[in-house]
Amino acid sequence: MSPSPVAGAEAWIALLQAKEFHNYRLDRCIGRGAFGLVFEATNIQTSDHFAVKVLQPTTDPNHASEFHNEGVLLQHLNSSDGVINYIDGGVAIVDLPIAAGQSIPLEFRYHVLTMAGGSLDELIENPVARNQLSWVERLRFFRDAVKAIRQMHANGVAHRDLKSSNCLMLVRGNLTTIRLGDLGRAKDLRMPPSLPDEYYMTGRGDLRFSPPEHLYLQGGNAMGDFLAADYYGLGSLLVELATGQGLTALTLGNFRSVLQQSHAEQDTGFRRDLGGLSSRYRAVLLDVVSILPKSIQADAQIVLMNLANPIPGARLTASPFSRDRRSTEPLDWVLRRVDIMIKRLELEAHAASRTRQKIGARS
Amino acid sequence: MPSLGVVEVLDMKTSFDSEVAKPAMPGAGRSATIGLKRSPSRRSDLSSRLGNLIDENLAMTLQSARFTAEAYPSSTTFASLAQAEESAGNNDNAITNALKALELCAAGGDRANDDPFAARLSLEVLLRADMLDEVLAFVPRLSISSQFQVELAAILGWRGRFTEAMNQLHATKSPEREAVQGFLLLMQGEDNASVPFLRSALRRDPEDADTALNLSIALWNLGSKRKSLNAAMQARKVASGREDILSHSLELLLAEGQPARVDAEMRDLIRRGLEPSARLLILQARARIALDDVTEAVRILDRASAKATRDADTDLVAEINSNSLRLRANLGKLDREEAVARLVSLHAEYPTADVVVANLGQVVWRRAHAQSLRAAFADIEEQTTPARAAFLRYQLATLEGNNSEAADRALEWVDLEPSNGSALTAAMVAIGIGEERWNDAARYAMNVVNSGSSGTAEVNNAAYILSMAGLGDVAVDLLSSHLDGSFIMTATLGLSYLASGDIDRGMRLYREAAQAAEKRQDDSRSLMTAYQALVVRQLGLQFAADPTMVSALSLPAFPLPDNWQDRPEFLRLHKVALRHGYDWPLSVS
Repeated sequence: MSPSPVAGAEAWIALLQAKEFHNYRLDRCIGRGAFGLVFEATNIQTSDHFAVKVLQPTTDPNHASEFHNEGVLLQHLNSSDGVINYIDGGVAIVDLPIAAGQSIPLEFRYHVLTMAGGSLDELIENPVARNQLSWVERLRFFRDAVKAIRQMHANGVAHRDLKSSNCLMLVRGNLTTIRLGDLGRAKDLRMPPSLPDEYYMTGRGDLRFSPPEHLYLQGGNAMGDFLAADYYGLGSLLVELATGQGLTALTLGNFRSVLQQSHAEQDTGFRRDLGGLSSRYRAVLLDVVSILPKSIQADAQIVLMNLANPIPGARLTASPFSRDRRSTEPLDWVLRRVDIMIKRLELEAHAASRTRQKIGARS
Repeated sequence: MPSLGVVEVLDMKTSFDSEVAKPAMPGAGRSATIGLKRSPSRRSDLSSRLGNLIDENLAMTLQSARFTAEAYPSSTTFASLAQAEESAGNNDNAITNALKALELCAAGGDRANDDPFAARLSLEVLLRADMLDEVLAFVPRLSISSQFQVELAAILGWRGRFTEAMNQLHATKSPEREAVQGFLLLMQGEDNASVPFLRSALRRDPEDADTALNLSIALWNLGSKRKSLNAAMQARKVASGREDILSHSLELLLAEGQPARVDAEMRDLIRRGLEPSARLLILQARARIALDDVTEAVRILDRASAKATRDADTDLVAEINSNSLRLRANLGKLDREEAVARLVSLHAEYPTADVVVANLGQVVWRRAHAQSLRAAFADIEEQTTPARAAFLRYQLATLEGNNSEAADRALEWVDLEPSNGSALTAAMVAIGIGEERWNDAARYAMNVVNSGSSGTAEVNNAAYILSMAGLGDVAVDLLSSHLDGSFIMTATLGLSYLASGDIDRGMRLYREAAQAAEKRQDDSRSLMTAYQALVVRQLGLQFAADPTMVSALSLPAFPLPDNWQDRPEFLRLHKVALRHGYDWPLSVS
């Protein structure tokens, strides 16, 4: 959870630091979201460490609703190993001093979550760190995210805000796995749309990672729309792992000019055919693929062209590989393709290692 | 009166500038998408809420990018911040951060720091800020992908900097270079040289819509129409949402004489939700014109005009409105005098739009209009096409009754546009009727015979010229297969018989035509009488036959219209009469 500056956040951090929320003591602030703060916390009884996400009381009422929604959906997804675990939650009362000897009690909503070792963006926003990551590692992270999205969809939830900063890293020994966090904008697909149309048209969120339908104000509120947005998010995540940048950032240029044009067109009833973006997407994706190892370029290109198709409906079509046609599970073909790419890279690495050994033995 | 020495340039052919497809810069199809119907946000509150959400998203993006760049300063985060600042309208901050990112990219210099996409993002910010030279200065210091180098070459070519573009291209080994090399050659008008590169690029990547479009344009320029259409259809198949590709393919179908298919495709697309742009509507209107449904075409042009106005595309508004006025005048739905006045005022509104003057040139019909046309022509003379300029000069000379100048200009026009029926007719009338150079004019008339043209004006004037050039029999044959029952063709057939020596039959046909002309209650009868008197003298019939009989059989004298001195068709005859010293008004007796 990458922090972002929120007005007045420092004051809240100072107030909450070392406070106890029932069984949890807030130790230090480790992140700031759009409407919340994240603290590393200790369970007073077990001394185990957790992350406590706290909703700032001064934020927009919509944020309270999103915070509540996140708690409900995290609990619903607790059996999914691809999503960060929800441990506990509730409301804590903290006294806010207003004058000498005077204070007013304030309510803070909070979620207690599994403590992560960081988020994926921390690894890829620095080119040195990113270039040190092997392609096998990157593909494994991507695979975890695909699996997590598949689990979420199977449980009737769409994430709708997929990007590296919402991919949390859990380290267990030598193994680092990815779990998805920040479900504030997630949608329970079993429930009817609850927001006005314009919220679905624009998406809401960081434009660098938004699907093109949201920049062209064509987002919808049907199940297919939410799933297609998540598929694009996966494509964009793979691009981020390769380049450090979101796919939309690389394709659409100046967001304001696109949005202004779309807004004017919306007012006059004009709806742009997103298929017209195909050439631009194709050029950028070919550029991204060109920096991947040769042996996985063809497969990566197919995965990216499908997941990140600018036409939302086209992302949801069946696998382009005939051997996957029997599979009824969406995204299974992507996992299979990623497995093939990982295997191919591992075999190459193994062969290279043997060659080096032989050369070493000869010398 | 569409013939008998009158070059009627006011016809149904439109004069749209938007007919020529432009090459597509490889990988840059973003702005060329087609529109689909959706309900307009009639409620201004929805529009306002959307505006607020857009502002929120932009602010959120900027806030996040700023914090990340502060927390993790790197080429990656500075490049991203540059884009977010640019999107927020903070151009100075955008440029500063782009330069910061580029300096970090350039300073790295080893594989560990490699950040080609931060470089790409930053360079794109600078390109949008019109800092191409700064971009070119950075490129040698950066590790940028070969794909982006190729894109940069295309951008340079798009801006007309071909030498630098080729140098940039030669520095890469990217397989995509062939597509751009083909594009650069096409941009420089080297169609023939571009084709092998474009073909090869398309073989390598059949889904490259830009290259398929460029190949189609090159092949069309080279005259390979069928292959051009195939390439256009390939482009359409892989990029159904591209308006430039759609309109290019429809344009080719129109040029191939398939207006019914264009109309059917447009109807089908609209039924499936297409919200046609002004340019697509123009194509549909042209198809309806070709299908002789001008009334519907005018309605479609009205819709195109509204869209072009909404899009603030002033050039297109001028183009559509001037064509629409001319078509209305041609349909008789707009008084021609009124059409002239409205085109003059349209020119005042769009003084640099030569298409307005071209349409004015087709609607003017009196000597008094010459002044307005001359003034309008002076405004666009430098920038208009040679063919359009030749037509306008011809029209001015004709309006002013300058037969010799009209003949020179008509020849210039037909040389530039040999397949234009109006230019051909102008040449025949100006050289033949105006200058009496019958043999020279007959060369053009024989083109009409040999081409099998069915245009009424072309056929009628060709028959007139052939009759006067001593080929009356050929003229009779030509007319006999094209007779449409009009008094004009009947009169010309009469002339052809006179020229063939069958005076009795010729005069009878003239009288039939004159009776029909009289019912029109316009000046046709007067003009016909003058023409008959002229040709009787030119053919020497008063000497070859019994003058009393010729006089008795010929049309009785008919007064000239009061305004004959304002009418180019009478002025032309008057000049001929003056040249020979004939009495005016012309009469047989």
